[in-house]
Amino acid sequence: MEENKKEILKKGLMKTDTDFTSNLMDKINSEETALSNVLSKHGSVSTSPDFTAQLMGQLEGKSPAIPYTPVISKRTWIGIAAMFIGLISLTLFSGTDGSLDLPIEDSFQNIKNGLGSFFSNGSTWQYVMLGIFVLSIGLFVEQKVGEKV
Amino acid sequence: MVDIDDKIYIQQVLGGETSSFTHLVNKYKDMVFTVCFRITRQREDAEDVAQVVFLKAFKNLHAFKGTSKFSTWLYTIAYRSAISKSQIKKIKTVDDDFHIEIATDESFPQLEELKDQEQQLYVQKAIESLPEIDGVIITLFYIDESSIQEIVEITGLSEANVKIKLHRSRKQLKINLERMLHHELKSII
Repeated sequence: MEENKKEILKKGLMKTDTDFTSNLMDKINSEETALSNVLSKHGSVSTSPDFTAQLMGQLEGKSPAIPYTPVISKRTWIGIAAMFIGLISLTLFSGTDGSLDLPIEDSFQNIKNGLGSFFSNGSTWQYVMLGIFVLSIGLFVEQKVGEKV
Repeated sequence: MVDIDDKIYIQQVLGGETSSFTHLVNKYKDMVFTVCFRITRQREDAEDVAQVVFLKAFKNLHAFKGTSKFSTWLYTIAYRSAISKSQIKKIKTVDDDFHIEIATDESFPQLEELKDQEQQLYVQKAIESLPEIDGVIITLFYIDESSIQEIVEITGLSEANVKIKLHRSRKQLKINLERMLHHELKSII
């Protein structure tokens, strides 16, 4: 029943000309081409005649800004930080006999002892570590200042 | 990706030959100015913004990586600077309820009968009647022949949004041109 209805309706449809689609597409394309031609010919506006001269006058004696590149790369900074943290950890958690004492209360004692002994009878590597630390801070400040400039 | 001539001039400018920037300015000044004008709608403002655009481009030329066309990079600066100047925060859309008339005449035949200067005036008026952003999109697509992808890069809009705006603007522009020309022809006759 439903199928019959569809068939009847289909018979009622009128056919377009065989070139209907191509005619329609031609019309659309010709309109598009015309619009494109008109716009490309008349769509832009021009600057005043002395635009370039004025601009180049402003640029006289100037050069493009040189981009800031940090002396120490991010990767190097991570390496320095890791090394520093490692050395600090080693100092904090190592006992006087060279063994590792991890309980936290002992660590505070170690900090106290460590700082005390560092300034009284610090070894060479401790001074080197302090040097790296100070240098790191210096370079970090330099980098931050450089970024702002 | 970068035009070979542009690349040479850019290298020269980066190497300290500021005068080579003149070539880039002369090549792109009208398009940069047109993009600015579409948004600011004022000649003086557009010229000021265009100057700022080229100054910014010169100053930040090191930042141009060459992954896109130099023109795309430049028009992005122009678009953003003009938007900033006009303080347009929201992207306006064309109303949907405009009446669409189907052109009965062949492709704008009246336009060809008018003098060049008059044609320029009507085309400019027709584009100006579009929302600012749509005017920029039409300008980039038809005049600069930018791709949809490049327009997306310049405007920061989504690809679908650009396509919709382009389709709507195109229709609106045809209607505007037909209306204006019809009226003008009547007054001339």
